[in-house]
Amino acid sequence: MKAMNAKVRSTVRKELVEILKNGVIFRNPVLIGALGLFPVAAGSFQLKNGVALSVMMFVMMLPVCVVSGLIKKRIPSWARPGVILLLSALCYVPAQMLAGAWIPQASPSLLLCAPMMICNSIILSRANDYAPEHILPATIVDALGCTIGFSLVTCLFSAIRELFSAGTLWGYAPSNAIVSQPFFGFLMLGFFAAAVQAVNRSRSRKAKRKGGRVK
Amino acid sequence: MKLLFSLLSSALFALTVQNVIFTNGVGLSRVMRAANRPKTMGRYALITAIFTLLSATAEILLNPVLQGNTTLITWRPFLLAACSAALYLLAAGEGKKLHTKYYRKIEPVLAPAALNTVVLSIPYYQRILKMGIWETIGFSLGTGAAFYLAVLILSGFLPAFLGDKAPGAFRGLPQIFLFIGIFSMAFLGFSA
Repeated sequence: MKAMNAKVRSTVRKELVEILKNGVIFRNPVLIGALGLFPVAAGSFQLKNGVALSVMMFVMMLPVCVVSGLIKKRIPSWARPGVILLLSALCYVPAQMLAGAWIPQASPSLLLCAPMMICNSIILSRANDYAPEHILPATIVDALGCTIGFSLVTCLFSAIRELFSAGTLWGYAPSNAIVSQPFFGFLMLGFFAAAVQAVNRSRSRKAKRKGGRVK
Repeated sequence: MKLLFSLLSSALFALTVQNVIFTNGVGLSRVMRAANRPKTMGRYALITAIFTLLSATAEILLNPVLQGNTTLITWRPFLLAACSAALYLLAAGEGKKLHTKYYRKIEPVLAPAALNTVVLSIPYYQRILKMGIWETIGFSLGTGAAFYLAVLILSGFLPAFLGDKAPGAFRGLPQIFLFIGIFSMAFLGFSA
């Protein structure tokens, strides 16, 4: 019995690690899922912005997904998107305050991107589609994985764009440089998505050779 | 006549110079998903336009209350999102009760079309661009048309993006991102 319990625990742990890895890299919500594109393309051109958006994502994503996972099917499916948007809007207030207190220089340039985190499609889709269908630990790990995945992309993009435009990191506000335009963000998204896709293709080729399947 | 001109010029402004989708990258996740289902794109864009207009109306009504109150101004994003959520719940609830047949047709697209970045960003654009009521109506309708145009363009190119002519790593989404990037650059030319 003990051996069986240990085996189950080990399988669950492996599954959770797999969910986390998928959120962070292999099924990254931005590069593979094409979700949450607006803050990445339009707001991530300065590292301070990227960190502020990541902080907001950390504060908003987990509570919204956990509450959505807890209420599961207690509210009808047609009403769920509205309730989730309301929850997300409620979490935005402390998230904005925290980001504003930690990185006060980032807020003015996030004029439109910060409030739009309320309807960030990563939060809405994970809370609406994933959380109600999965057990709570899986929901929490998925929310964390997606948040880390989003934060990695946002911070990386911000750092690269700030380096290109100002030649500095964390400390210079680029003016109207080309790299701060959304189109530059999309071009970068294209190349980064191709990189992750290349990794995924090589994983699936390796798995095929071994006769298995990529999780 | 002046009002009509104001309305039409704002709609044209939203479709070209201030195209929130291509120039500012707002709501592209939704555009990509809508492009995957070309049969529903008309309904999708219509619902987006209607909710954009309602969201802008909420800002017009809330603004006088918020302006004079320093505490409430911090809650502006929450209040605007709450208005959108309430409008959606009202539309979905009533739709379900009254027009079951028609509601079944629009049900799959109602939530994503009514609750997205395009809809929620309009009150902010309205404030940034200092638009009046008629200009706001024109801008909202123009944004709905811009959404339709974006979905139409993307759905037309989608088979080519999924084909095997591009290198493996660039097939599908990476190619779409590059295409949007180049298209977005072209739209930026309107405002330069």
